[in-house]
Amino acid sequence: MSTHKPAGEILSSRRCGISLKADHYQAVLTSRPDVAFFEIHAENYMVEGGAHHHFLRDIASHYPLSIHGVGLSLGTADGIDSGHLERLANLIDRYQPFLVSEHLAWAADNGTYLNDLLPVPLTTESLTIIADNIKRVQDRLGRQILVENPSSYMAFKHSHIPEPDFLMELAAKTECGLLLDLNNIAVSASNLGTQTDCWTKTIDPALVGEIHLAGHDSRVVNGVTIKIDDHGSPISPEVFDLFNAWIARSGAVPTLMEWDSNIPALDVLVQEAVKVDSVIAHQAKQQSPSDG
Amino acid sequence: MDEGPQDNMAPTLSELQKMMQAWVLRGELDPRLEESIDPIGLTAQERLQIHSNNYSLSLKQALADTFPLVQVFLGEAFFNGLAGEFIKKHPPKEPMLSEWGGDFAGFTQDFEAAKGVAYVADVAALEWAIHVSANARDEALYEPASGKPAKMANSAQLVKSRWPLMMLWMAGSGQIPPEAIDMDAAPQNILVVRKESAVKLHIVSDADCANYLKLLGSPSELTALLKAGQSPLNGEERHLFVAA
Repeated sequence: MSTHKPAGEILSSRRCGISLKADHYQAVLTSRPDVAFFEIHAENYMVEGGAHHHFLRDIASHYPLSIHGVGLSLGTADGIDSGHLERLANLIDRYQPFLVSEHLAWAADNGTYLNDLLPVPLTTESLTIIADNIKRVQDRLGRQILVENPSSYMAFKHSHIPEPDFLMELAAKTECGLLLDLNNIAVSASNLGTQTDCWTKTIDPALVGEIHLAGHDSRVVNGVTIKIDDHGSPISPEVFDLFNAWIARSGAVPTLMEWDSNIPALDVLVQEAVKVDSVIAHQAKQQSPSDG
Repeated sequence: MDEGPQDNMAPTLSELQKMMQAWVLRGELDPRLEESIDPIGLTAQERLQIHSNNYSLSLKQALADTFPLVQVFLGEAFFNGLAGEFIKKHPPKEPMLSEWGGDFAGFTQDFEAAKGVAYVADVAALEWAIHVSANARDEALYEPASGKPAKMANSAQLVKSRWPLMMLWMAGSGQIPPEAIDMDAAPQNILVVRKESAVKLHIVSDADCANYLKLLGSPSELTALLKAGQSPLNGEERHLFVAA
């Protein structure tokens, strides 16, 4: 059983967490970096035994743990796969994470897993289906989950609910929390030609249980620049600006520096977390100048 | 919240997902799917291709992570071609990619373009065995004094080969130079064993292979042998036998 602090204590310590990668297991245990928590991809630990669990058990005894799923497919019209939900429930029972999250997306349908976070049209029908899926998941897990805004590469003509409003409605219908991914907001706005300020105007900060920050790549498709959410580089200045603005308005919550591809040395992730910490600390000073 | 505009032409969520699946898996573009996408400066197909690319590239990377030595022997371009065909034939059914790839060795063996490097299929089989062993359930070692029956550990995996498989493994992983490989050398079967978290490879004779397979199917005979203090197999036996 992890001896981690409750989320409230993590919040008050104003520190950033990082992604836990297998490349870094030994370095984490040896160097014990000063990060607030580690986040894992749930599906990577849905194996029965071996080194992944050996190291995770040890690391989770020293750090709070956040479990982030990518395969539950909250957006599937035919409903959540029972087997996968049970696997997630078992993992959560085993490690008692302080946060559990998934995506506003779908990936599985009719016995095939498409290994991507595919978009859902933002309609009343989708809202009803996804709310039912979230309720089922929370009922089975016996806890709240956070739902993350994904990166978008396309939009549907028949979508009629803006994405921030869609997430707010999901929270109202299900009492789920929100995971605000500021990199995904930047990527989606660029790819779809939308603005980012609707998010700060619409999202209730009290519902945001976690923030994700990450880097992204760009490629040109037929003369149009498309940003790709690859989590393979440092946080961009644009995303840092969004984070600064969000923290200034809404205060700090557990924040993850996300890095999932082109994995660098552990020190690089830790240094990115330090940058995030400094933004949090700076905003805290701005808001409480008498604390000096 | 408003119900939104009534769009009787728009596909339902379920219809949309079936059409998206057909696109991602088979490149079939339903006109209703195409029409439902706001192109925003590109074509609908160009936007859909981003997701096709995400699917294909991420799965190729997953295969490369599980079968790095196969990629060493085939080269990146050939491996990507092989992986692409494998993905079409054997798309993952579950979100746990750790359980995907068991068919890769057999697929490689039957892949026409790989017939000239037939040994690579056995390298793939070995890499899959290592992957399975590394992720197998942790089990308590067998203790004769416990009085409990014994069985072979789930983490033990046997790979029979007509090639010098250990030599190929050592060359592919950089432990010996490629020129040290003697493809006319005697075949090498490999027993993969896990000791705590570390996976180890042991060359086993044909006789030991046969004995291993016999005992795998006969836990009572295995238990009797171990209780009698006999060594059923040569090599690192302690971690082969666990409490049933």
